[in-house]
Amino acid sequence: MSYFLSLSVDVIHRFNTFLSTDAGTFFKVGIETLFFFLITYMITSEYLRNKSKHLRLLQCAFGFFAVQKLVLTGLYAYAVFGGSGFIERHTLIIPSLVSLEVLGLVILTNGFLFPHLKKQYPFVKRKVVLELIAGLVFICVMHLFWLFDRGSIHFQQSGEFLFLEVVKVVLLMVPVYFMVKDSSLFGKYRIHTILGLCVYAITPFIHVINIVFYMNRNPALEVLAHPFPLISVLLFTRIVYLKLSDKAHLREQLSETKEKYEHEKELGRMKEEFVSVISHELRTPLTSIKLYSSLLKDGKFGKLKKKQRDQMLIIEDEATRLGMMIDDVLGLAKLEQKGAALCVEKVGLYDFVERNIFRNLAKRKKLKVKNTIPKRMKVLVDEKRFRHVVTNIFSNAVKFTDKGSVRFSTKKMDKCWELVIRDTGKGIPEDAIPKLFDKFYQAEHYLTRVQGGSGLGLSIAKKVVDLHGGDIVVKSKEGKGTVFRIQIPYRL
Amino acid sequence: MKPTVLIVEDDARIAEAEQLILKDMYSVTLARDGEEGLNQIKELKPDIVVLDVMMPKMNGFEVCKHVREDPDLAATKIIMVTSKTADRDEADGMKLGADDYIMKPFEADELLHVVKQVLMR
Repeated sequence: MSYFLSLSVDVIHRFNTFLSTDAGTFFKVGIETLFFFLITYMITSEYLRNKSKHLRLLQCAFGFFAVQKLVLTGLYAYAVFGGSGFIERHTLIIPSLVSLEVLGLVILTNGFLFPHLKKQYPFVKRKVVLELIAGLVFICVMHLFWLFDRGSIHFQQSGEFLFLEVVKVVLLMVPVYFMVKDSSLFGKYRIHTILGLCVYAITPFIHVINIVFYMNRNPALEVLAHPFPLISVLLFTRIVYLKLSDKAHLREQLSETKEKYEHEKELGRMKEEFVSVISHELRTPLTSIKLYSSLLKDGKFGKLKKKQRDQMLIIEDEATRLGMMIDDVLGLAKLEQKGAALCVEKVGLYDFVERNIFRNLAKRKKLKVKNTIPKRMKVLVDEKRFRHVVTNIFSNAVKFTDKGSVRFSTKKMDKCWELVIRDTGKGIPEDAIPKLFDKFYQAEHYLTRVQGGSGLGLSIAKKVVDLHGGDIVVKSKEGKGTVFRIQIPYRL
Repeated sequence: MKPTVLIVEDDARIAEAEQLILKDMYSVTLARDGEEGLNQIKELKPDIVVLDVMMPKMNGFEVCKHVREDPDLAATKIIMVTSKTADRDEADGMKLGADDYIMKPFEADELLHVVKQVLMR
């Protein structure tokens, strides 16, 4: 056991030592560059989809890191493959790269810090905070240039380097602090982002300790500091992996949804086709029945006795009822299809009652029909559909009224007009009124009821009135009668 | 002379009933499907065609389109007989140049009324 432990410690130490050589650094920064670009790409694609401010900041910061690592990779490649001394000769390079990294961090941190500062000190402006930090960093970097250029001190031992490393640690800890506090940030990638930033902060932290306590001359600490950016990058790569698998999952879901949509569209088309075929199949024989019964009744095939004529009338009435049922069922199917549109025009309201087939039926039942709608009153409605509404309520009134009258009147209100249909029928039980407009609802149970009907009429009427932006109000007293008020706005 | 009416209807019973209703006032001819109907229209040049929509071989819309494209038949009036709930039917028919439409199931009086109205235009 202790052998394996010492062996693994040895392996880690060797690896770390390798990382501190030029070749090792080349290897390290090469991998880091690759991953930083990958991470930046992923964050960018996520940002394009979900325009979150924090993502934009992460994108900027990682963009800076990626560019910095790319330049470093190039430099170390040159150092490894023959151009030794290049970095030492071109003194501006390392400080420039350090400043790039710090600027990336400044942007990231400022994004987290600023909203918080703003809350506590409203006079603080984002630009001021940004400029302040950037200015300090700039002064440090310029001073470093000067030191580095003179070659008098190894720049990694300078106070400025210490300052920059401290700034790095602080800048990395600020977003971590806010992410720990606010669990809504970054969703399920939060833990990995926090860990990644923390691990990334370890290297500058070790540098700080090295400078403060050992004048940056402790080789063990220097070696120890090397692998953390790599580990941090691996953690961020884990985020990329999570995102990629998420994306694959999303794509799968999308294609499933698409398939489902296509299927539903197909079903919708089939339904429409079915309704149209059934409609044709039902209406054709009904047309024959109606036409022949009317020819018979009119004596085209020989004169009829009064009793025979009366029976023909019943056949005609029943055919009419059947026609209405078909209209109900198919009309509902049509209304339920998406995008049912109205075809509105100005029409006379009076004729909706006068030319109604139920006027004759009421007459046969010896009911009085009083129509006090002004003959000249014109209203804006979808004529065909509104006729259906009036016919439905009229037919109910005639159906459920055995003696007395059905009265039609109108009322003009502020924003809408009202058609009132009042009967002296048996009324509707109070508990049945709210359910009246439900599909297939009938106040009488189907086994006990005397009256026919599909139970769809009022549901359709309500739908049509809704389409007009209006309302139907029902009031009823059992044994006394029912009042239907159809309210339709003047402007549709 | 009575105005001439061509009834294009694939359902023989309805065709016969329509003929019985119209024959007192008009001279009526029958055709059983769209193709026969179109040939008859070209041959007889009737004043008015009562044209069913759902028919084998060639549907009413196609017949209507062909008639409207033929300058010789410009005076021919067309009434479409629809049996679908789709309002689009009527819109399609009117766009193609039908003069009016009537919806199944219709009453005898309705048919007489529409034919008379369209001929008066």
